[in-house]
Amino acid sequence: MENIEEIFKEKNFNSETLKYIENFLDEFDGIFGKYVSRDEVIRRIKENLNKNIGYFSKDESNDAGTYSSFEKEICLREGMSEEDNKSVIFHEMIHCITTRGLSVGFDEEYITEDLEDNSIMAHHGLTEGFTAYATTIRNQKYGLERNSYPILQQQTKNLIEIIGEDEFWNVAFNNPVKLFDLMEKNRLAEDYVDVEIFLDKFDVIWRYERQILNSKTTLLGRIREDDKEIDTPLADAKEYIIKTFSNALTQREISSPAELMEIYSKIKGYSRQLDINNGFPIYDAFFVQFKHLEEKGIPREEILNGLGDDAKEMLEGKEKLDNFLSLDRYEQLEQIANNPNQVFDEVIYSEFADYCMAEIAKSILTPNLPHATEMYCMLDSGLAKNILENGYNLDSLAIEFLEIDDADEMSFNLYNADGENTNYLGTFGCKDCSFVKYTPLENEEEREWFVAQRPDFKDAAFLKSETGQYILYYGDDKYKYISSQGRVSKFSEYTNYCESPMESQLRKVRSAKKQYDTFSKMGYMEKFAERFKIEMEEHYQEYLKLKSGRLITPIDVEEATKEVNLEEIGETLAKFIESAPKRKKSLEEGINYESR
Amino acid sequence: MNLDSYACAEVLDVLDNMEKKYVEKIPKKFLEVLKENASDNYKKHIVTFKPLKNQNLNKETLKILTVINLKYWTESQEDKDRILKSKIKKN
Repeated sequence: MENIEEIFKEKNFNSETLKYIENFLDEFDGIFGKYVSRDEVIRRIKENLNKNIGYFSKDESNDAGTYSSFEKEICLREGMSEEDNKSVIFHEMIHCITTRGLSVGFDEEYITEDLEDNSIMAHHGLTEGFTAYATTIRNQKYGLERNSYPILQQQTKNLIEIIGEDEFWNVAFNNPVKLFDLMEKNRLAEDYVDVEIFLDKFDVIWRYERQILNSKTTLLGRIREDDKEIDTPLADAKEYIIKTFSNALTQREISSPAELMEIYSKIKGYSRQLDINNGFPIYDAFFVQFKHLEEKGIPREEILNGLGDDAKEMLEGKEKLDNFLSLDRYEQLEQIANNPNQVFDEVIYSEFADYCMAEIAKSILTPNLPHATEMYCMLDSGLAKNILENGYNLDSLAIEFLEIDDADEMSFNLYNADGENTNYLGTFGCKDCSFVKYTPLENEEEREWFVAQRPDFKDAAFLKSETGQYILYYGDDKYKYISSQGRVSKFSEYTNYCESPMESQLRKVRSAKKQYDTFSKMGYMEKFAERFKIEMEEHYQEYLKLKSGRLITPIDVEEATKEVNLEEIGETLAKFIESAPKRKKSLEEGINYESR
Repeated sequence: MNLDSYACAEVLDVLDNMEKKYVEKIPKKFLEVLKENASDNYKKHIVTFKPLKNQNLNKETLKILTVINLKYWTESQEDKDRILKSKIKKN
């Protein structure tokens, strides 16, 4: 039997510290001993722990414990139970034994070893994730219900499921630099940039969970109002993580509907855990694998029979949306304008209604159009049909909200404003808070009523553009009514700043080129440069598509002039010659019409 | 017998919505006649997302566009013959 005092005698640890170390050695050996030997754990503790266990008060921090690779010290919060102390020490000790130099766990410089600036990009997220998960395994063994960083832990667990337990723990405890290889092998990353981005997303979740801890709220509780800026990065991070996992599942070799159903359930599980509903893209692996099965010769019916009802419905929903989106833009607009209910019932998959609407909006709208949902409402209310029939330019629709509040109670003025011409198309309102029905407000009194409803209403006009939302403020509390004409002139002025779809696409090309130029000058950033180059080419192709697809061609002219007959052409030529007597000769040369 | 000023403006509106390479195929003098005769009060309305045939073009506009299409945009004799044939039929 080893003598713990003898082993650490040079460290002069006190008896309490030695007791905790011995306890940790036993517990770790019993759970993770096959990945790191007891002797190796002792060696690492000797290397990375120099001080006795310290304590801090509740007032100093909300943490239960800390490990400092700089001080080589573990500290605990005062006043915890002995059981809690042991659990926290287990957690901090894992940090201690996975420390190399100052780097703890995956807070590694391997990501940046190729960079010349030697900066260390710490990745606390996955480090805390696997440490917390290892501690939970320990706690479950000893019947303790203690759980830190629940979201991180869950995602670490998902990662481990894909990578494989033995391989992951070996890397986490012994060789974090190999994480890249593991991720690449399991199709979770293609290059180190992917790994870095993936780990960044774990960091975002880590920061969020730290924030929860610090704001002393429960996970289910709302985070403080002033912390909301993390919401967007958090949602992005969640989506990225699911997509990464889903992508790994895309590469899995499957041969039966049951395995396909397993993939569906896994992705559904991920999206439930992370509480996101971002539509079909996160289910890509499911759709791709469905096609793979079909390609393998399994009849469609047989595959469908092997799926649950919800998986089947989702598959059908995706196909319906794809079919609709494959129509050309004008056909889509006509369908929605003429029969919105049918489109809503048949094309919008109810579970992903927001996503489907956004995709349709993306397909039919251009950047300077109003918010997608509002646009859908306008289409649904028959307004778009009217707009189409009157030949207004849908690309230049500008919306001016008269009233916006949280109760969905709003009305708006609609203009056709392309920078040169501005047509007031009417005022539309949603008086009864019904979400999808906007009806024209026939008289000015009603318009005024809407504006007057809110005494604190600062008259503001909104115009959406690719670069952001222009907000015009004019008028004040005393001046509740602004004439239509005043607004129209403001819109004309501001629509000049709006980009046409082609301009917007060109701007994206230029922006990607700028990034490409910057990164390609930095020798060690080729991977980034390469990405922006690809992005630049994609945007350019899109621009070319817009340029050729959206402009009128001689074929359109031929189609439009089918009804013109030979005699009429002759008349026109005669008029031309008459209208330009001084140029008669040259015109005759110019219009030397063979079949006269 | 004068050129319709609205039609001249409308033809220019259509040309504005076409690629430069097609407009460049039309002799400058022809374009000048259009510009000189174009109405100042014309309100641009041609859009690219909607088929040209559905944009209620003026009859005179269609005639001028036919001339332009036949003379400057239709390159092969075969295509010219095809278009002319269809026009003769309508006669």
